[in-house]
Amino acid sequence: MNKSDSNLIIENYLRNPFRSFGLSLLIAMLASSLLVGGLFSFSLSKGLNRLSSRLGADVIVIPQGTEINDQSVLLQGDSKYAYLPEGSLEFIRGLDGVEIATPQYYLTTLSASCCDQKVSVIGFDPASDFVIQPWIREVLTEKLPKGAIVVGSEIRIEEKGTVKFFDREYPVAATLEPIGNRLDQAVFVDVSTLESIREAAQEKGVVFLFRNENPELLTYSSILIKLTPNADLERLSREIHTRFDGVQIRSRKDMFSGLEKSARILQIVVWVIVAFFLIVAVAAIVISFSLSTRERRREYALLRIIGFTRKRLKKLVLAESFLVSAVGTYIGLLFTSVAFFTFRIWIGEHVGVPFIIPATVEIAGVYAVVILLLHSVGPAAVYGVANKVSQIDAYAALREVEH
Amino acid sequence: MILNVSNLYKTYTRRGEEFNAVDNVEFFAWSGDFSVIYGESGSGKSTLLSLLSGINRPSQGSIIFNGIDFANLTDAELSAIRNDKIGYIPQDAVFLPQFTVLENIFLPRAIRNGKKIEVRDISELTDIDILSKLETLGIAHLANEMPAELSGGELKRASIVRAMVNKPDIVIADEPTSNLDEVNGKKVFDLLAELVHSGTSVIVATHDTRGFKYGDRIYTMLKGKLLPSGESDYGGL
Repeated sequence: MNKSDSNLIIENYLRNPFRSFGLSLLIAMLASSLLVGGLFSFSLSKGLNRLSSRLGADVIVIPQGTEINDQSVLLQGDSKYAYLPEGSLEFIRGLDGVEIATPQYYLTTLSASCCDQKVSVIGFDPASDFVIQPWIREVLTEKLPKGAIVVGSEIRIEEKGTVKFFDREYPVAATLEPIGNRLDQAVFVDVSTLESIREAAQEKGVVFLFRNENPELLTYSSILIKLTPNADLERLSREIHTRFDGVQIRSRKDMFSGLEKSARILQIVVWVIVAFFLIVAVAAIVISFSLSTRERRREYALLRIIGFTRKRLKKLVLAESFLVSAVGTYIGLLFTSVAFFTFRIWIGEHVGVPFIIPATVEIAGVYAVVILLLHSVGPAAVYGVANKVSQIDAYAALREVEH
Repeated sequence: MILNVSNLYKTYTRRGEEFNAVDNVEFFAWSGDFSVIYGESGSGKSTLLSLLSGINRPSQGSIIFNGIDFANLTDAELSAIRNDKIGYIPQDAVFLPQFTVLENIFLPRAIRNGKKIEVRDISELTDIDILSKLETLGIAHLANEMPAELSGGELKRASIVRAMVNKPDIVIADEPTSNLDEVNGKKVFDLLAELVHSGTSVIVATHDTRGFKYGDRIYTMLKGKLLPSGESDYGGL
């Protein structure tokens, strides 16, 4: 494309700014929805994959009648003051089909130096844990030192490498990879450290409420179970329910099917929006360029008279649509990028499914695909119109107006 | 000989019936030659000029321009000739509305050179030849205006200057004095005559009998046929 043609294209874009900018705005919305769609899809599938690889339990037992969301305890780290009945762990460990059963303890506190938001403190039993410790081993090769803690990716650590709870400092041994949900704002401790935090709270006059009768006894919030290969989950559930009221039993399949369904619905919604904008943008561009080229027949005839080839005329129309697309694409990407990356944490918290911002290379890939696709939307939409323009009979076009 | 046309036909279909808008035309022109084609509306003048200027393809016959047969040229080759060697002035002036009159005038040069329009303002104009033509036709003061601001006659004169911007070998003008008063019409013919003196070939199709005194050769167009002066019903004009 030489400078004279670029000049024509830019001047023509500016000649009717409302029309040009209106079309660019539609492309911007398309760019925006496509970028969000791409990043969402990437983030959701990455979040689900990471979560799936992190979840070692086949079954989780949690208290019933609390505000605990079905999937949120383990998958979302959403914990309230809810605890299982005494003796439930020992009972479950004794059942047929249970290979390992390990307890987890949840405290939620605002009194931490790291965060403005609530922090979930998740305690595990080092002797039986088969869920948390494998995550820790990904980032910490040696054994978790006594009194040390492991933090989620979004926990802010003090300069000296500690996090303070109720004025007691706890050294951070490692930070976990992001998982894309509220577990990124959780702190993982072994039972003895959890007891220390509870004591510190008590010294400050904060008493965590336990449903058990013995307030001194640290009781567990959930039990994670790994089943033997031929375990009968239905029978297991029946036995637990028969012995204990007020518990609910969730299999990994149940937990993931809900999450996957939510993620799928979210993705469908996003892609429906993308499709809507695509149809509207393409239709608007085709109609607008068809009308505009009809109005500009004499101008095209003039360009033919003063030396434009048919091919060059076609390129001119395609380039005009390319400019409309390019302007819209970059406007859309700019605004969406600012919004998406500014509010990524808020989005992650509110979509209700695991959500991990993709790696830089993956993000660059999404951008490249969006740019490539959207730069071609305009030219592809007006290709037929451009062909017609290139076939214009210059002499007839001049005479149509003359008579 | 700059232009040699023989056995030229342009056939159209109207209400299912074919007719020859240009019917077996023989024509030639030399450098520094002024040809005037007279004829009524619908006689085929404009169609003939569109064929001679290469913006329309004949149904039959040959147009040899500077020894090159138009029929053997690709669209790119013919377009290059239209840009550089032929200055065509259409009956109705057409301008790109997003550019000023001056920018429109320099558009063929920008297209030829593949560069941006070189002159944006009349005060920057260094091409004395174009400046003088603008002044001769009385539109220099309008050069910085947008086309929508000019009258039909003013645009017509500007389109005449545009046809000359690449210093073509031949200028083909379709009714160059329509929309013009007597004074401006004379200025246009004088300017075209000046071109002829400098070696350019000029072909004018007109209703305007004032053009006859400028013509080295006068033709009459009648129902698609081109007749040398004296052979038509208008003989003796």
